[in-house]
Amino acid sequence: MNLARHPDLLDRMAAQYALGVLRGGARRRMEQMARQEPAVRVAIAHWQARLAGVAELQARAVPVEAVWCGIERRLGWKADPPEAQPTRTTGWRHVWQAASFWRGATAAMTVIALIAVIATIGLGPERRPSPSTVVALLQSQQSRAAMLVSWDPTGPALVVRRLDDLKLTNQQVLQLWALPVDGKPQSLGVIGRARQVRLPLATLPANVPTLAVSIEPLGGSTNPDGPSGPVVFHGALLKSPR
Amino acid sequence: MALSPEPPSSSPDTSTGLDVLLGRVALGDRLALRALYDQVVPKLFGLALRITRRRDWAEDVVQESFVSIWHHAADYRPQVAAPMTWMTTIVRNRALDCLRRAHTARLASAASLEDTPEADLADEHDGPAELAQASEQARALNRCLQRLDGPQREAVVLAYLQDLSHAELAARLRVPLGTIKSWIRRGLEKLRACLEATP
Repeated sequence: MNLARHPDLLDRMAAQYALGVLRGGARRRMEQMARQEPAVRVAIAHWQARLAGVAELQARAVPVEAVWCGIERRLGWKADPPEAQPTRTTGWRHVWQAASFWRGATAAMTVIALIAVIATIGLGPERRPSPSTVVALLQSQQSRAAMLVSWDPTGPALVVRRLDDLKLTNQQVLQLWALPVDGKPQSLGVIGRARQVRLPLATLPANVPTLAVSIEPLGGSTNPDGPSGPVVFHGALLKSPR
Repeated sequence: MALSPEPPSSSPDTSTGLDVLLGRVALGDRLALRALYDQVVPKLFGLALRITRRRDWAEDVVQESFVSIWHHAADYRPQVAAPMTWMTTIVRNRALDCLRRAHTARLASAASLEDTPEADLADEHDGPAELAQASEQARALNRCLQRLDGPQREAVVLAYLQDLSHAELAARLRVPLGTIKSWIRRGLEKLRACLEATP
């Protein structure tokens, strides 16, 4: 049966599927139809979005502070706490209980923890915290977060990360601009169409309260005095990096 | 409403929106994660507690969720979902996963889980505190949920939060399967009518 031709039934089944009450054959049939019929996928997604709000409507509860410490540990920001007291009853006991042993052991563990942290930082994926500082959050014309600009002094470079879902054609790129208090906009680089790019830059131009992004033809603005295309994002420079 | 009792003083803009904080988290800003935590953890912990019904599990779920938020903040798209919707979805998935693991463990060991009485399902969804950080979409849903009959609302909310089937709901609420199916069907139909009527 083609559910797409029975909108009422489709909506009812999609709602129950999104709610999670369907099991077994009924669930599998919905999944199969969703693979074949875009209308089924749309109906399910619609209900999933509607029902997601249920999770936001629950009463609050405050966890103990240790929960945050656990997050830091899981992220490797903090070493694991020492294990519970060991129980050894052999001839090692004297050594085990001697304060000097523990001082030495603690020092050794600290070194090991440090090595572990250094190794993690050194080998970590690109998502490890970089020394960059966020310097601007640009917003779209609809006031939505659209782009994060941060300053990486080790580059030195501006790191631009897109949050928007602006659609660009193959002939369009984004370009980042500094808008000085007086004078013409200065190009900080062509972002292109990538989600994240580094724009090497010796230093930010002085006296710049605002950054902006425009849509430009391939290669960047053709106007020597500033953007040639529409400005789509803009935002204040939060703080000037040294 | 400022929820963070001790905003990190070195963070320049703790009162900024959740999407801004998520953006900073995406760039690896640890202070931003802490600021985000301060703002939203009561909401997320409350949800985890509601689903798992155990404090220790809820604590685990919240920790896993924040690790997830840290690693996936860059995938967040403001256009697709409000920040709170995105985060509560992560917590719900983690909490359900926790329940499933516990269920498997229980089957394996045949030990009985602590049978916590059903969490209070009294009408607690309309308090201003619960709505303070809810997205527009969640507020609209709340208004429509309030128009359902009590048992219908209870069945729909419980089914969603704990991912229960018709049969599991019937066992949990101690009503016949046919009754549950009718509550769910009518509840969802009324929800749709109400949501479509109030944009």
